[in-house]
Amino acid sequence: MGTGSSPPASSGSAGRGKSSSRNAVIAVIIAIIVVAAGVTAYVLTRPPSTSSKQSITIGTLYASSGSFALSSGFQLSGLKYWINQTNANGGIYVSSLGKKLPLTLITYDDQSSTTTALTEYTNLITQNHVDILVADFGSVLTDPAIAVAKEHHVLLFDPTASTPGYFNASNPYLVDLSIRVSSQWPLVLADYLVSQKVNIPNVAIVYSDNAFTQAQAQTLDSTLVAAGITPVYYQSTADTSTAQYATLLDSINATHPDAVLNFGYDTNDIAFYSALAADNMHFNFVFTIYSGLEYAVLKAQTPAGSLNYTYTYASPPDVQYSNVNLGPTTSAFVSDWTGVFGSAPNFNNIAGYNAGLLIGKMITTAGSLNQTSLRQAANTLSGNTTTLEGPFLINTTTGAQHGMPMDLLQYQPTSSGLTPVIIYPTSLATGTAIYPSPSVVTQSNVLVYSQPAVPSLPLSAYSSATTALFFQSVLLYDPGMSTPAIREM
Amino acid sequence: MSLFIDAFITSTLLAAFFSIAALGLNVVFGVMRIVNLAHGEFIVMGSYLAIALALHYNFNPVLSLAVIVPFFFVVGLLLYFPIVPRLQKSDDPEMGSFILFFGVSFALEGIAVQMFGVNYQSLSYSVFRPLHVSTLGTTIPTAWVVTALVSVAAIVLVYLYMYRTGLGLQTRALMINREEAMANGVSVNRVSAIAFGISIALAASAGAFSSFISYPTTPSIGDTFTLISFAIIIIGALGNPFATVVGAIVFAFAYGYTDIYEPNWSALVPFVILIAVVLARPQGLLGRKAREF
Repeated sequence: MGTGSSPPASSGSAGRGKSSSRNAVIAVIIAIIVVAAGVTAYVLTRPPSTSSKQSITIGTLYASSGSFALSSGFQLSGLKYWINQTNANGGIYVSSLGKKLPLTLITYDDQSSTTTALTEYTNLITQNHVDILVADFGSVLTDPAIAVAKEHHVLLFDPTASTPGYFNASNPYLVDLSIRVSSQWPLVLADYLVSQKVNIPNVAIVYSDNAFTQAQAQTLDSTLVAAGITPVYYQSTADTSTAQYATLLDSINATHPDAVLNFGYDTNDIAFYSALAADNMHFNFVFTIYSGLEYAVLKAQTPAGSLNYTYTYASPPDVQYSNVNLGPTTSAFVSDWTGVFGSAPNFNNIAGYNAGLLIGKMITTAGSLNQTSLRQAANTLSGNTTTLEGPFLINTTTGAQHGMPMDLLQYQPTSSGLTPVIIYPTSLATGTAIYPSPSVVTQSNVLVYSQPAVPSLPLSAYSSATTALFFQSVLLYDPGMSTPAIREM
Repeated sequence: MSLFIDAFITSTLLAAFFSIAALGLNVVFGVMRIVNLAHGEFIVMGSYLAIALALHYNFNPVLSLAVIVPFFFVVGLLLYFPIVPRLQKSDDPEMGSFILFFGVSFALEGIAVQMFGVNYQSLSYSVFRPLHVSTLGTTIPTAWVVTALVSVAAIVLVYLYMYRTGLGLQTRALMINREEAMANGVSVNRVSAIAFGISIALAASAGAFSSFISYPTTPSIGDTFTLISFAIIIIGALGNPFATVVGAIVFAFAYGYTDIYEPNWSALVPFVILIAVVLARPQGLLGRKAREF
């Protein structure tokens, strides 16, 4: 019994032997797992070999839903159109690889969420290893990409974010392609209002509470004040609904302004015009941003006659550039696009396409997909490139866009519908402003004007001389500079 | 003074709209103790149906209610039976419903994107004649007045249902004490299903008018409606449908008067009031009333 109760010495030794060999097996297994995990991680995260490169990958985000879905979709369709066109021509020649490469688009849906966008931008860089990173529409959805791109030393191509604060000398990984910094947008508008000081002495400014519109309102306000016009109303708002804007308009109306300038996104503008109709109000001069950028949307979603005699920024396709040295002219593009899609492109479609055009040219100029070389190529192209969106002119240190001017137009009713008439600067004007704007009363589906509508005025194209003059006379305006510049044309 | 009256009128009309928008959410919570996070999406769906009926059949929104109310009532019933009884058997129906309807809201938004796209859509004021009416020196669109009148009518109808019908009595009994109501022979499923159907129909009815007075219709605007509706029923009193009206008045007037004096605070002030109410009277402004059914 005693022997049965105490294990033999050899048995204990064998047990330790078994135990140590089991430990060794476990150690080997762990080592194999660690090595396998490391190899897998390396394979998954390593940049693809350039020598075997079969295509240039372009990564971007879009919003299928949320506040920016509409504009984001417009921008993406413009970019896709350029990619399809480029691929139909065999792709882009990359001299360092000695061959033409087709373009492959990788997109993720950020649903207009900045947190989702942050994750997806990171995925595009670290998982997909895209060669070209293009931001989603606008400042809000571009914002999350800026820090990520900078951290990974990837150049962020920015089609439509224009918040001045994004551009600074400490970040060489951002370049603004298709839209000038928002603080410069109202320079022409401000110049016009100053020139009309006698006719339009009382100006009301309301702006949506975000960086894009705030920058514009501040530039306009400071320029007007410097010229001796102190706005009778200057206020930011968080309003987005029609009823809220109606109350806001009551406050504005109480200050008896001649001009009401509303700086907002498309949702703000729709609510603003709906509230104008709801309150049955009329002002002599009404300005909004998105009636120009997304004319068809605003026309369809605002009460009939709302846009008559209103003012907005003049940009492509209303402004047409004929003397271009990169890509099609504005009118040729509008014609092509209309042929494919059945309706004319809007500004954001053009911005997406224009971004593609410039990216393609930068790759060709750089001769490689090296991010620093691409940024250098942007500087090389700046000042001597004109596209369907106008002159490409960036601050070579910050990457901020100073070309692609925003002029002033008025929508004037004609027998064939609303006609965009460029009224300022005078050198580019295709007609004169109708001021004060006649009041429009909507009765049934018939619009009744208090004075006859003006005849249709044709649009003229920017001339090459004008473009050259622009390059010579534009005074760069940076947030850091003390004096805002006025473009002299 | 004129500005003050303008804001008063606009806020009153907005309060009426907010009441109908949020009422259904409170009915569901009161009867079933479940949180319908997809409430705003049903407002959006109602709006899309009203727009479609206007476009294709020239229905004005009031007429379209003849289609919207029964249609969404049935949708509510169809949604109730596979979901709600299961939720109520769980240990924590409120949390379960929170998660489940969160998913439903995403699904409905996705369906809306597929069916209607992401473009803004809205009804024209011109469906009502005359376009404007004037009162107290203020001009307001007839569409807003109609919106408010329909909202008041809906609230009155719900009141009559709750206080003048046998089913309403059973509904109130469920709100007060579920176990006692069951012990007294109240058919929980039948009463709850009808309440759920009414809730969805109310939300969709609000949607028929939402593009006039609040926001143009897009698939993503449902979240905003849900948020506002929640704030309103918490301010009023969770579980007391008619406290919704009080919550809506507080919320709309906070919006309206902030818009006059500090427009950039207008998105904040109503929610600051919400926080203040939660801290000072967690049961809501009419919280005690909830126990007096």
